[in-house]
Amino acid sequence: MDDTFLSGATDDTVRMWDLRTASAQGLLNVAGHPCVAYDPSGAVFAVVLNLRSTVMLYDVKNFDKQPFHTVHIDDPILRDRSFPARTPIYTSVSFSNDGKWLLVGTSGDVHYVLDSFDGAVMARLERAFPSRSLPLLALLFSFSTLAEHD
Amino acid sequence: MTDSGATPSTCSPRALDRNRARASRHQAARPTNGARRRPLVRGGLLVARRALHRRRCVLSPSQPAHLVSVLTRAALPLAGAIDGRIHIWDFAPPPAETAADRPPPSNTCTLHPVASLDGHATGPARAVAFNPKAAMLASAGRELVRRSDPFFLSLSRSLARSAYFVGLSLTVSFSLYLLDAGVVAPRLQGGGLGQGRCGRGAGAVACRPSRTSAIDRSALDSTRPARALSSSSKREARMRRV
Repeated sequence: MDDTFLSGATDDTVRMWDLRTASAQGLLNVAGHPCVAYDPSGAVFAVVLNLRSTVMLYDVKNFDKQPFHTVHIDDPILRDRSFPARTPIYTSVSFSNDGKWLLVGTSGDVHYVLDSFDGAVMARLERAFPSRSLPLLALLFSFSTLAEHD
Repeated sequence: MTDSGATPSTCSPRALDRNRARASRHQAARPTNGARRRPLVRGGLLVARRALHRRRCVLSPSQPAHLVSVLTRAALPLAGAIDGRIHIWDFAPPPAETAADRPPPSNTCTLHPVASLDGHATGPARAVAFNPKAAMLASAGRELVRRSDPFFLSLSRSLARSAYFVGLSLTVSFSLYLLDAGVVAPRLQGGGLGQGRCGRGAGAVACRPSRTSAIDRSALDSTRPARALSSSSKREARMRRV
């Protein structure tokens, strides 16, 4: 029986909640407006820091320890487009249903698909017609990989 | 990329024509700048679109095997945009459908949407969720939930005054959380959580995937659509789905 969930807040905390109690069961202080996502197995969760373009992978069992993997997302195309590069604000993170990929959504024109094991950027997702007036706003992302179901 | 291989054969020709006509209308309404258009009607997307209009489980034994394989191989990131549209990319198409000019995976490999749904006319699409078991797409915007099954519509009426739709955990028993001024409150009664303070301006919630739930199942059952919806709300749901 496990009904916990995580919340990430702009007060730079990630909190772990249990549905059976009204107060947070765990508190993680991270600097830079976190977004959180569990992987499908529930053993690992990812924290994306808005302001630092960083993805951190945590072990659920070692909630209060250091992340076991940290990746900095680097986008050379944005660097080429303008200087200094317009770093997008990360607004969502999500694992694919098979756990292989990590999707990082931003409030800018681009989203990223990362390999969830080594953190390498696999693809940039852009809209077909980049528009100055209507940036993408991806607040909650979903990977719709249909894995084998019982 | 051709749509012939991915078109499910169980679709009635009429339904397929209707979908194609809708797709062509949709494409014609958009401005063109000479970019190559990909067909909108493909296996997973078609099913997703159908699931928006008619709630139907697609992974039933009566479905053809190739359709399921198309679905099992699909990896379709979804994103809600600020103009209310829902964009769908195809991140990992099967090798037969991969474009020859697609760059190898790297941080310079830029992909464009294979389809864009109209989504919400009244504002940004704030949240998008996909239920892989039923191939059902749910999105939430200013009016919270639209183009989804009646269950969400019936919930959305009670949530209409709330600010954000935060987490939608589509596991065996799902939980729906709502974020309003930093307070996370379960909308399914019987969980015994009450309310929890989650810090100022919480931005994201992740529900841990689990097969079992501490939530009282009887409370969940009482909110299921067949029992919860009155006849008037069913009628309204039908009208909104048109």
